[in-house]
Amino acid sequence: MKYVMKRLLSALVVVFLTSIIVFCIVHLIPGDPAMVYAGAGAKQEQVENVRIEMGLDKPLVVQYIHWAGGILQGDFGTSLATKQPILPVLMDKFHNTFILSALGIVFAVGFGLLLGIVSALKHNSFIDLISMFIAIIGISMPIFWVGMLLVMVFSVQMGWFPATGNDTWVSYILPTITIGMNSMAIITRMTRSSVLEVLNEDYMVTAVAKGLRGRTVILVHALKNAMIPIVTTIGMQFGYLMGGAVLTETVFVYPGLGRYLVDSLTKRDYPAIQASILLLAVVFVVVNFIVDSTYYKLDPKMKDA
Amino acid sequence: MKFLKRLLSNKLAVLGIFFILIFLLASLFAPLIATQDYSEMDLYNVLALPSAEHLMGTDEMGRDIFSGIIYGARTSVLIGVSVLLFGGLVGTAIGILAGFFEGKLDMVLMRIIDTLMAFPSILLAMFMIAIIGTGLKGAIVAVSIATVPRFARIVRSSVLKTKKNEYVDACRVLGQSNMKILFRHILPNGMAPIIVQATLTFSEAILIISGLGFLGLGADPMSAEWGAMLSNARAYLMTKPHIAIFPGIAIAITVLGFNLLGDGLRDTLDVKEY
Repeated sequence: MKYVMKRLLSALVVVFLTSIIVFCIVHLIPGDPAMVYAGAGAKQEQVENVRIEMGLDKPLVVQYIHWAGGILQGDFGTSLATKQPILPVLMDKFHNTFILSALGIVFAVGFGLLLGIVSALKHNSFIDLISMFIAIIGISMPIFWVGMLLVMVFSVQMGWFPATGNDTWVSYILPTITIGMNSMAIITRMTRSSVLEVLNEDYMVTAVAKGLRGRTVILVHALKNAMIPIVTTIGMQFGYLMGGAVLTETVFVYPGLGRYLVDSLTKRDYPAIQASILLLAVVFVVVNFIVDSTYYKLDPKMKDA
Repeated sequence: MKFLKRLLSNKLAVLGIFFILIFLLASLFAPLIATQDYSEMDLYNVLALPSAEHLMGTDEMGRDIFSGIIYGARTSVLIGVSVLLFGGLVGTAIGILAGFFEGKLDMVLMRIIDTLMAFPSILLAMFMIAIIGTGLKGAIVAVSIATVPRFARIVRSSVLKTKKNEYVDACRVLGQSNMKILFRHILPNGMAPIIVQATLTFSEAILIISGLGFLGLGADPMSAEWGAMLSNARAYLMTKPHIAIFPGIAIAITVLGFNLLGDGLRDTLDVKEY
């Protein structure tokens, strides 16, 4: 329990530090924040009004407390581009990105584990070669290009799936493969090497010598012990997947958080940039925390930590 | 020599070196290989299919895609080298400080590094772009900063491990200075994981910057950069898919080359993953 508490504490520290940096973005960009908020071409008087209205004339600490306090109460401010409150839009986009990432991780874990285990068991066989080939290609192809290729083949040529949107379940298939491709490749490689390593351990040799059947040995002993690095990888991949969502969402014009962040960046909509970066950061920290706690449960050696 | 022989006996690594050579030669001799200047537009000949005149066809502004890809290799070398110089050097310096001197400094530095490592590079890069602004220079700085944490971690653990060797103690007994021990003995012997990381960073830099170019946050859409070229191609996926194929192949082959070499180096130098 002490370990979990320690991780929780450090997660909170990370969130706090991130919030400070995110808050500082507006003050770090060259120029006057009040001018940024007032927009290009604003008159001096308007800029001064914005400065007072948004409390930009107060000390930074006061401004931070005001900003962070608002966020804790669910007030992410108003978008400079649409003049609407950010929170409802943000939640909507987050919901979409979460669904896409979850589908992506299911795809990546499912195929990654399968390919990894099979290629470890059939080490140096043709299947092994093929899955290692898929894996290295999956790591080397830019995921947005994977998406574009899928659209070209399956939407334009075959006409099987829609190229954009998220209206029906069919429209999720190509984005899911796109977003999960890279993670699938990494999980395949990780699973293969972990299982291979465990297969060479003494207790595996013993288990076989004891006369245990091949399948039991693999399922009970090998996978259980190979699971720790695999779970870590999966957890890390979930975070990275949400980062990669930006590219996938752009290819498929999918209304997610990543696309929202990119749009805000291009429009220099700073409150929206701050809100989406902070939300993404908090999600990563939460996922990392969950992974660390699972790790602790899986590995008996961690009990002393 | 023995090391080189072992590396060259790894078929995949050799394939990687082959791809990297093509990539380097293309960027080195770009003006000789390219059939025309990429900025040259031919508005009577837009979105043309591959032909003898335009080996890979032309894009929506009538620019020669083959030439764009050749000059794009130059941009990618520039990207990879700058990211390695900035990110690699700063990361290595932090790793050395933390690993060699340990103690409080190590704790503080590693806390910061761990915090940064919790975030995917592309998000860190976008975060930096929010401050620096968009464009290729901004993207390079952003990705460099995003690669610092991993370098720092790897160099630190390499230094920590090498430091425990007896020859380091021997140097200390002989009264050699910290600097001399560090640069003469610890770093050269702990170089293997750093080299592997450098190879992988090169390919990662190309991938992320092309991603940023694709999103319209990186290189100028008019410039010869593979990601930006793909970004322009997105609008023509339905009608003229060929303009999206070649830049993608260029990225994939280059990145694959560095990944294969990185894997080969990892096996040959016997580096455990961190």
